[in-house]
Parts: sequence; structure tokens; C-alpha cells
Amino acid sequence: MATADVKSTVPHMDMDRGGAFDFSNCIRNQAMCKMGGKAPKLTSTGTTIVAVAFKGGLVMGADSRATAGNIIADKHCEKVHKLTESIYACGAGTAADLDQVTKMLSGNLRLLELNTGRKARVITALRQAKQHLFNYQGYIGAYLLIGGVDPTGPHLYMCSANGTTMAFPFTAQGSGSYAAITILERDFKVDMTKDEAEKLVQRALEAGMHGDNASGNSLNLVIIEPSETVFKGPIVPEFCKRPEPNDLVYKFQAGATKVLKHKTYKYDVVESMDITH
Amino acid sequence: MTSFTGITAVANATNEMAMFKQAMKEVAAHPEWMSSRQIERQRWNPYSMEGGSTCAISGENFAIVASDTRMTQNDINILTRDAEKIQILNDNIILTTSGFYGDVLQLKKVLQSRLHKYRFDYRSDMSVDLCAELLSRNLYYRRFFPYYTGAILAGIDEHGKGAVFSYDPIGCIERLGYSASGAAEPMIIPFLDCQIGHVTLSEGYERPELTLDRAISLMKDSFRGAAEREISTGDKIHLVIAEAGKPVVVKFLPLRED
Amino acid sequence: MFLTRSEYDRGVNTFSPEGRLFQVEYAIEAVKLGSTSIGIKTSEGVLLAAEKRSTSKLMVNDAIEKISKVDQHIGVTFAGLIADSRTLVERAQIEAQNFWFTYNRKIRVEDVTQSVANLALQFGDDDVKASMSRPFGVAMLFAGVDQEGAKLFHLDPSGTFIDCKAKSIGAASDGAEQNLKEQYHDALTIKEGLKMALAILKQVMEEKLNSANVEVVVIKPTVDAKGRPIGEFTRVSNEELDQVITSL
Repeated sequence: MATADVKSTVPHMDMDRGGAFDFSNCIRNQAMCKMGGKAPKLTSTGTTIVAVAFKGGLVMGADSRATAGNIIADKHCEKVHKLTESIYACGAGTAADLDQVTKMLSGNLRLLELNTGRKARVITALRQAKQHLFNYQGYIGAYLLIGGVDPTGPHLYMCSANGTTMAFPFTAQGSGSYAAITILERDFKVDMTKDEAEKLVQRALEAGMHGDNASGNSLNLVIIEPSETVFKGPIVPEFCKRPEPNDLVYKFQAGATKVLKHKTYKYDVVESMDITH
Repeated sequence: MTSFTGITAVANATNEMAMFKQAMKEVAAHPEWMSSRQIERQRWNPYSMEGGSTCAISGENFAIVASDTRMTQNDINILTRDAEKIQILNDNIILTTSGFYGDVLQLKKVLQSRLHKYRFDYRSDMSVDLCAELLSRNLYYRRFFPYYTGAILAGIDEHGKGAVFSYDPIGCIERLGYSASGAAEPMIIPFLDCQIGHVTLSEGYERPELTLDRAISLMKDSFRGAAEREISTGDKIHLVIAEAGKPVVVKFLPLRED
Repeated sequence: MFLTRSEYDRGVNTFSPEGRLFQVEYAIEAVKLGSTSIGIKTSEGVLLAAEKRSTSKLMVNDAIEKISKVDQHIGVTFAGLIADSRTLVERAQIEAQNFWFTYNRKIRVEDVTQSVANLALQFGDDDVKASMSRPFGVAMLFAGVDQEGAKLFHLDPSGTFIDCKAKSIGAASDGAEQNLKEQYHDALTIKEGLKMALAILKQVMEEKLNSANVEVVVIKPTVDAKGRPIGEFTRVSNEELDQVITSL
């Protein structure tokens, strides 16, 4: 079918295509839903991850809380993933997806480094991530901050689960990003020193952990420079410590638990074997 | 044939195009901007949940009530770290409520005014037993537009004994030894079942007496434990202690803030 | 009093220059036209006894009710305009039920009396707010047993109510009360109280006292399902009344 034919046969859509937003795909999507297609679902991202570029390098960081609904599933989970010696990824979203995607990326990048004999570039990691995630149409719930230093300098990218990517001098992701970004917007400066950048990331993370229920417990940082990569953590901010210990000690005497039911199974020894040696 | 859109059962491409055109026509004529499920989800909802937990324990001659002071929006966002979820209605009646904070405030006002009127009408302070029944009635009055609250009423009853009354949102009332309500209720109740109810303890093992000091310690530890693992519980413990023949004592204790 | 009758007894809520509300005072007078009732608080509960005046032998005597039940634990007797008393008794019954419904507890005798007293004063000649255009022409004796023990309250048309040990209202109330003052003591039993009440009625009634023209209710202390003290309203049967009357 020629393009002109398609144009003439597809009904006109009564939607404004001028201006900043284009809603014309709404009709198409509805038609697709009508034919049995499924609309994608959104996933919440209970985390705070922050990354900031400074003069010659990059600082990235994440909190360590993993939640299942309103329950803290893991207090000290690792959200700063190493992709190569000088490329790291911070993840928000579905924990299992993040683990698998970052593991795949680090494997592929290592192979690339071995094959080429050069250090992998950040843009390569980003490309691989976005192509993989786009293939899965957002069903792999991985929201990544990919950053690092390569021969072309420090780079920081954000990669959304549906494959959207953007480059930033500084950014935050996850449910705590609203609190974190306020600190970044106020205090970020171009060409900060390593120390300034590290302090800024830590403060932004602490804001996220303080103001967001789904973030907290402790934070991890990675400082990437052309010469070396330093990992710091876990750092526990003052407000994440238990202010008071428990009053009582809860120890149970052996046998104190009520036995509700007894059942004895009788068995015959058919064959036995000496496993002492 | 399955395409990446998940559209199946189409014989050939031309046919698919024809069906798609037809679908476009229908949708353009009558756009379903929202599916029935989306409409259901987006319908005006008068309720919200502000998270947090409350708990009450009664003993021989005392009742203690505690709540955290965090107020949360959408389970994630912290609105305030100094919310009051406990109302001391008089020397013998303490109300603590979790759930929708708008209803919590309204319920508090309703009971306060009823207690005030009671003093004029019957020339004495209402006892916790009467207030418990009154609260039950008031909750049931809103059977089909309920106060979205998990209320616990505690205090010293007419015989000088500690009392805890627990409610569901539409007024089912139960007098218990201890109760909890709110986001961390599923964590606190089993702990108190074990430590106060001794439901898992077999015969012949020590059952420590529930003194006021022990009850306070258990209460604090309940919230410390809950704050460890429940995201909307934290910031501070608001602890209210009512002991027969003594004035009500109010305390605040720190909890983790993350 | 009737000598001072003037234009000030037209409005129901207009004071005379001497500071009197004539219509209320007349209402109190109306009480004295009613048949006599007696209430006695004893150490074993409280009792009410009332004369039933039948004006004609063609009247069915059982149809007259001079003592009404307010709740399980409270009874009330009245003297004066019987029709007016119906309004007040109904208010008492509603108030008692309302309290029980709201608080799952039986109302106190004093509180039910208070609520009826409030209604007693809600009269006036405006059409909107007042439920009654004139004072109620009845006095009432509320008797009952609540968590504080046996109680007897006298309520008059002015809305005043008084805690009493023994009290009489109605036509022969003056004579009856003189007798009560002489004979009453704190250690009375129900049996003695019953006998005293009937003896006094016999003395002050114009007709000859028999079980048909007297009505007696006894409220004895008991406990409810939760072990709280409360009263039990019982009407004294004609047989029992006959026994006591013959022994007088």
C-alpha cells in the first residue's frame, strides 16, 4: 500500500497537532486497545539516587532501602552497581530487573573491553541499556542513572525503563528525587571540586532519605575520576540511627513455645549406609 | 499471529489494516478517554490515608496509649513530623485514631462536644465505658459514608481498672486488653500477642506480670520495632499514660526519622 | 391568691408586679384537683401508690393508669390534668430509651426527671418555638432504682424538682404528707412502706379503699447482666393489695 493510500484511508483525527503537545496517538492507542493490545502499566520507584558531575569526574550515590509496599524488605541493599572500573549505574525501580540489567551490562562491557583492548565508554553502556529496555517496552522496570569517566571525559545519563535517555550535569531519580533535586538545584555549581561534589551528593541523598518514606537506612557513594574510583559506604546519617535502644530483652527459653500438635511417623529401615569415613 | 502489541487472531495484513481502520473510526467517533477501570480509579475519592500507627495497652489500674507523630501523603511523602493522633478527652478517656486525618479530627470534635454536653446534662464527667458506647453509636450513624478511621478508646473505667476499646470504621466495638491500629498494626499485634497475651507460650513458663513499667517498655519497643520496618511510622512516639487516681501523663520519645 | 387576679394572668409568661407567674401558680392549683398519689423510698427499694378515682360505675376501672412505666427501672405517677401527663411521660420514656441507645446504660432517675422538667417550662404564647401554649397542669413523682440506689423525685408544673424520701401529690396531698412526716423512718421495709401508703390512702380517700381503686408499683433493686445495680419495676397484684387492705 502506498503511503498516499494509507493517508487517504486512515480517518482524520480531530485532535490539535499544533502547539507543544501532540495527543494524536491517543486515538491510535485506543484503537489498538480495542483490537486487544494492552496499555503499559506504571511502576513506582521507591528510592533516592543522585549523581553530580564535577571538574574532571563524577559522584554518584544511592540510599539502601528496598520496600515491598509499606514494608522495608531490605535495609542495606546495594543500589550502586559497578559496570566497569570507571562506569557505574545507580538504579531505581524493580530490584530484580535492576540486578539483571546491570549484571548483563557489566558482562557485555567487559567483553567489549577485552575484545577492543580499550576502556568502555559511558555512551556504550547507555546505548546497550536503552536498546535492551526499549525492546521490553517498559516492562523491565529499571530506571538507571549511568555515569562514569572515559577517555572523552565525565558523563552522566539517565535511562528510563521505556528507553528514554537524557544527559545531565546533575540529576536525581526515584521517589526521593523531589527532595533531593531541591538541594541539587540550589547548590549545584559548574566545575565544583571533588570534595564539594561529594558533600553535595551526600546532602541531596540525606534530603531524599529524610523526606521520603521509601528511602533511608544508609547511603553509598562512588567517586569516579580518571585516575581512580573510590567507593564509600555504607554511611549512616545521624537521623537514620535508632535514637534509643530497646527497653527489654526478648529471649525465649528453649521449649517455651506451645506445642499444638504431635505426630509420630513410624518407618522401617530398608537399607543403611556408613557415612562416617 | 502475534505482533508486539499483543494483537492476535488476524488472518492477514490487509485484513488487519481493515480492522484497524474500522477500530480507528469507532474510537474517533466515540473516544473512550478512560476505561471503566480508569474511571473507577480516578473517580472522586473523599478519603485518603495519612499512615502512622497507634496502640493501647490496659492493665489492672492503668491504660497507656501511644502513636507515632508522622503524617504521610500517598504512603511516600511526609506531610508533618508532629501530627497529633491522640486526644485526651478527659482525665479518664483517651482517644487515639489512625486512618483518614480529616475524619480523625471530626471524630475528635464530635466526642469533645458530646462530652461537654454530657457535663451539662448529667452533671458529671462521662466515664470511658459510656464514651465507648457513644463512639460506637456515632460511628454506626455513618454506616454508608463512614468515618475512615481505626479508633481505639482507652482510659480508666468506673471500677478504676484500665480499659481499651477497639473499633472498626463503622462502630463494631470490642473491649480488649491491648489493641493496635494503623499501618504497623500487623507488626505490633503479633508482638503484643506474644508478650502480653502469651498466646504462644506453653504451660509452666514464666508469665511476667503486666506492670505499668513493663507496659510502657513494651509500648516503646513496639514502635521502635515498627519504625524499623514500616515506612510510614516514625519521627516520635507520643505516649499518654493514665493511671487510676493520678493525672494523665504525656511524653514524647524520639524515633528514627528516615 | 385569687383575690389578686388582674390582667397579669393573661399572658402565660408575664410576671405580675409582685413577681408572680399566675398561670404557673394556677397550674399548681390544678394539681390539687387530681387524685392522690404517694411515693415512699424504703431501705429495700421505692414504691408508688395512687388513688384511682372512677367517676362512674360504667367506667372500666382497669383502663385508668395512674402509674406509668418509664423504663425497666423507673416508674412515674402524676396528679392533675391526666392528658398533660401523657406528653410528659412520653418525653420521659423517649429520654430513657435515648440514653440507653446512646450509652448502652440505663438512665439515672434524676436525669430523666431533669429532662421532663426542661419540657415543663417550654411553654409560651408564640407559635413557633413553644410546644405547649400553657404550663402543664400536672405534678409527677418519679421513682426508680439506678446505680446510686433508690430515688424519688417530685416535679411540679413550675419545673422545680426535688429529691424526696417520701412525698404525696394530688387532692389530699396535705393530709397525706402530714401522715408521712409522722410515720416515715429510714429503716422502712417495702412491706412496711406498702402498708403505710395504703393506710394513708385509706385515711384520706373519700371512697372506700379497695384493690380496684388503688394502683401500686414497687421498684426493687437488682443487678443487670453486667452486675451493675439497677431496679425492677413491678405492679402489685390485686390479690396482694387485698391482703394488705384487709390487714389494715
